[in-house]
Amino acid sequence: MSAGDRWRRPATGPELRGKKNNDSTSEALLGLTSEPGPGQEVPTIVSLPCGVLSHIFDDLGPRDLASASCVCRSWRRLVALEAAANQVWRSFYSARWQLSGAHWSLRPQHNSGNSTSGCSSAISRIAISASRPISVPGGSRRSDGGDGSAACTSGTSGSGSSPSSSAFTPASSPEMRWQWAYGTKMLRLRSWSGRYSAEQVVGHKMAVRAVRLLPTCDLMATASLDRTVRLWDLRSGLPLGHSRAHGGIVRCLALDPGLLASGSSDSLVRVWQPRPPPEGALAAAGGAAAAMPLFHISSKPYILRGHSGPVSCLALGESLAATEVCGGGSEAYGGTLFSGSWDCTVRVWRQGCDSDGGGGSGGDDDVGGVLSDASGGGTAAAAAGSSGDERSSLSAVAASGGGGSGSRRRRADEAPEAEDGGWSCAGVLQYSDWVYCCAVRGSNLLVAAGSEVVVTDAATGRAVRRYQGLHDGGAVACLEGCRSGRLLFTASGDGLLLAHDLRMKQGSRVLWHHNAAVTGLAFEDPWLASASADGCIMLQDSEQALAGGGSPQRALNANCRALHCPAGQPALCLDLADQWLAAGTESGTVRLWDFTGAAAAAERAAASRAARSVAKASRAAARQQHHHQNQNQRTQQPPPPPPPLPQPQLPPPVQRHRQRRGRQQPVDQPQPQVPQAPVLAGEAQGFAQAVDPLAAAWAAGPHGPKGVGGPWAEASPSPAASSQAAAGEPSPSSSRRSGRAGGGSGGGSSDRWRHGQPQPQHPAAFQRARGPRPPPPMAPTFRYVGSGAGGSGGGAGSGMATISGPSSQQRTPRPQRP
Amino acid sequence: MNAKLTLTSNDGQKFEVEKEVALQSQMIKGMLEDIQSAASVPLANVNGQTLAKVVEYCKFHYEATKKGDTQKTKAAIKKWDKAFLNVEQSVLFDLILAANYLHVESLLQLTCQAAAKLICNKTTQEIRDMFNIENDLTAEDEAQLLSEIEWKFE
Repeated sequence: MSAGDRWRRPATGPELRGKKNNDSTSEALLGLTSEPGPGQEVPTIVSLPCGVLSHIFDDLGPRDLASASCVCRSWRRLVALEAAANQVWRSFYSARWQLSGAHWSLRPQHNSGNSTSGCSSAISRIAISASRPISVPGGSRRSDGGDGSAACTSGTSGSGSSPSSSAFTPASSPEMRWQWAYGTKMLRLRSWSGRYSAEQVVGHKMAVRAVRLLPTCDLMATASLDRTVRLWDLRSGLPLGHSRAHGGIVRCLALDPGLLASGSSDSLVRVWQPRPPPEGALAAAGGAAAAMPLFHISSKPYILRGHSGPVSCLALGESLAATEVCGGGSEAYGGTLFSGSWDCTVRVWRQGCDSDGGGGSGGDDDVGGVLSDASGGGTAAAAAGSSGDERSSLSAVAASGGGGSGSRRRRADEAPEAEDGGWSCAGVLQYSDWVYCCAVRGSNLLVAAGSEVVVTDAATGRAVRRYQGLHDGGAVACLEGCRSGRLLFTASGDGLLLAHDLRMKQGSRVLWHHNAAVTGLAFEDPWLASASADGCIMLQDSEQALAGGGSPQRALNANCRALHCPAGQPALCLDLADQWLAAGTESGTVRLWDFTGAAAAAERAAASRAARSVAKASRAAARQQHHHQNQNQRTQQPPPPPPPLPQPQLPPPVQRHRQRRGRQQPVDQPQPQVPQAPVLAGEAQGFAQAVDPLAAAWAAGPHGPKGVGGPWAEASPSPAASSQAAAGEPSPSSSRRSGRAGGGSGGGSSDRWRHGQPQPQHPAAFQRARGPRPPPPMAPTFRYVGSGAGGSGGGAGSGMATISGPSSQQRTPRPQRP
Repeated sequence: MNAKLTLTSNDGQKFEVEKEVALQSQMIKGMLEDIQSAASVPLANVNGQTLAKVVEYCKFHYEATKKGDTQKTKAAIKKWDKAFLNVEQSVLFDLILAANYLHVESLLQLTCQAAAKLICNKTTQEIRDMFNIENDLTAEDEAQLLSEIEWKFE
C-alpha cells in the first residue's frame, strides 16, 4: 500500500501516461498497445495500459513483483526499470534495511579500504534527497520522488532503447537499481546461515562496551571502559587509530558514513565528522585519497553538552543517515542524532539548524515549566508543547529545558563552531526512568527506560505505544526493532529474548531463553543476534522463529545458530551488519565473525556436487559398459585377458568382506567376471577364483546380471559419492569436511551435506575407495575449523569431531545393504 | 437534485441513473461541468455488459455511502464487493479498463487489487500461462533475469 503511494498519486498518473505516449512506438512493438477499441477481442492483462498495470503491481509484494518482472519485456520494464518502479523497490529496501547499506554495490572494489573519496562518491552517486527535519519515511519519499524520478528518467531513457541488455548491468549505470539491490541483499542474507571465520582484534585495555560496524566504508568502531574509541579496518582487522581519552568510560557509539558519535559517562556526546579531503589530494589520484581514513579519530571532536548524567545510548535517524552526508564536508550532517542518558532523557541533536533552533529564545521559564510538568507525568511528552507544530515546540523545549542554561551560556561564550560544530539540541524527551537503550527504526524511536519500553514517533516525539513489565519488571537491557515498524525485540537480565508485535495483532513471544543475562542485541532483517553473559551469541532468523508459532525454538539449525565467545570473555555488546558480526568482550578483545566466505563456500559445495553427479553418471556408464563386456566374454570361450586396472591388489579385509557378503546372496550366476578379477588371478589364482564368482554375484545382485546398474542406482548417491570423495578429488571432500566443521549448528551448505551424508554401503565402492591414491589434500577452507568457533566453543568441538568422521568410516566399513 | 442521466454504451444500451450516482465517475463529472445541461452521455469506450456492472457498482456504493459510515455498512460493502468481483478474468479486465476510462477511483482500486490477487504467489511461468502472455525475452535475457531474482527461491 505504502509502496504504491507514488504510483497512485495523481501527479505520477499523467507522467506514466505521458511516458506511454512518448514510447508508444516501442510499446507497440512490445505488445503493449493502447486501449482496445470498442468491440475488440476479449481483454487480457496484456491489453491493459501501462498506468493501469502499474496500479495492479502496486498491490504486489517484492516476491510477486520479482516473478512478474520475468514474464515479458514490457512487464520487465514496468516492474523493474521504470523510475517509479525503482522507487517502489527502494521503499521495499528501506522498509527492511538501511539504505546506506546498499552502497556495497557501488563501492569501487580496487580501493575498498577506508577511502573517503570512494565512499563519498558512491554515496553522492545515488540520487537520494531527503527533507531536512527528522525522517518520516512517507514524507521523505514524497519529497525525493520528484528528483529521484527525474534522475531515473534519464537513466531509463538511456537504457530504454535496449532495455534487455544495458539495463542488466547495474554497475555500469549511475543510478542505483533498487530491485537489483534488494535481490543482492536477499542473497547476501543467506550468508548468515553459511560458514564463517572468526577473528579477534586486540587493542582495548578494558572491556569493550560498544561496537559498531560500517561495512560500506570498511570500518569498525569500538568504545571501551578504557575511555577511548578505536577505529579498525573491518577487512584487515588493523587499527586505524584511537581517540583521545574521554572524561569517562565510553558506553555507546553511533556510526554512519557521515558521522561517528560516542557517548560517555562524563555526560558528553562527542561527534567526529569526515573532513573534506584537500582539493589537491582529491585531484591527485584516487589512490592517494584512499589512504586517508574517513574519520580523524585522534583529532578533537565536536562536543555536545546537555545531558546531566552518563550517556547510555545513541541512535541515528536512519533514512537521513544515507543522505547527502559525505558530499561536501562543509555541509551540515543531514541526519538526527538521539542520545539517551541516565538522566532519564533522550536528547535530539541536529546540526546546522541554529536559525530555527532555540538559540535566540533561551531561558524562557514558562516553557520550562511545561517541560517539567510533562516530565512529572513521566512520559515522553516533550512534544506536548502548546503549539501544534512539533518542530517549534521541540525547539522551544530545547531552548528552555536544555538541562542547564549554564552550559548553553558557556557555549555561547566560546566560539560555538569550534566546540559543537553547529550541533544543537533540538529537543528533549523525558522519561520516567534511566534510559538504557534507544534505537531509531523506520519512523519510530524505540526507547527502553527502566522497565518500560516506549515507542515514540521520531518526528513528533509523541509516545505511540508503551510496554510495561515486560521482563517481570526487570530493566530492559537492550532492544531492537524492525524498520517496517512491525516488530520490537527486547531482552533483559532475565535472559529472555522477546518479540512484540507493534501492531498488536499477536501477543509477545519468547524467541530464545538465554542462560544468562542478555547483554546485546543486533538486528538485520530478518536476522537477530543476541549476546548473553554466558558467552553465547544466538543468531536466528526471526521470520522463521516467529513463523513457528508460540513456543520458543529449542533446536539449533541453519536458521538458529549459536556462536560462542571463549570462556571468561562474554560479549557485552554486539553489532550485525552486512556479513559481519562483531562482539565486544569483557576482556577488551573484539571478536569478529566474518561470513563473507559463506557464499563462496556454498558455491564450491554446489560445484562439487555437480562434479560428483557428473562423475557418478560417467562411472555408472562405465560400469554398464563393463557389464556388457562381461556378458560378451561369458559367451566367448575362453575369455580374453582384460586390461590391467590401477589397483593391483585388493586389501584383505575387503576381500573377506566381499566373501561374506557374497555368501549371503543367492548365487545364481557363478561364472561372470568382474573387471578386477584377472589382476588378482595373475598373483593368486586359487584365491581369486574363490573370490571372483562371489564378488561378481554380488555385483549382479539378486536381480541377475542386468542388475549391475540396479544396486548402483538404488544405492545412489552414497557409494558414488564416497568413492568419488576419496578418489583424490580435493574439492568435494574438502568442502564436505569444512562444511561439516563450519559452525556448530551447520549452515546452508553443510546441512545439505548432512542429509546426503556419504556412507560407504557398497563393497565395490568401498574397494575403490581404498585405492592406493593419497588422501585428498587439505583445502584452504579447512582453516575455518581452526578459527571456526574460537577454541573452546561447542561449535568447534563438534566440528572437530565430525572431521574425522568420513575417513574413519571409510576405514571401518559397516555392511549395509541398500 | 434527483436529475436523471442517461449513459449510452458503445453498443447502444442505455442506462438511466441518478446524476449523483454517475458523478462518482470523475470523467462524467468533468464532462458535466463543461456541458451543464447534458441529459445523455455517450460512452464510446465501454460496452453494455461492462457498463451495467459499473452502474451496479456505482449505485450500490452511492446507496451505501448515503447510509453512513458505520462499521456495519463497511462490512456489508466489503461483502458486496467480494461478490461483485466474483467474475471471469475477461470481465475483470473489462471492468478495469472501464474504471480507468470513466475514472472511478474506488472501482479501479478494487479491481486492480483483484487482479493483483491473481498474480500473487505464482511463478513466472504460471503467470504467463494464466494470462496467455507471450515470452518475448531472449534466452540470454531470461537467464539473466532468473539469476537476478534467484533470491526468491529459498
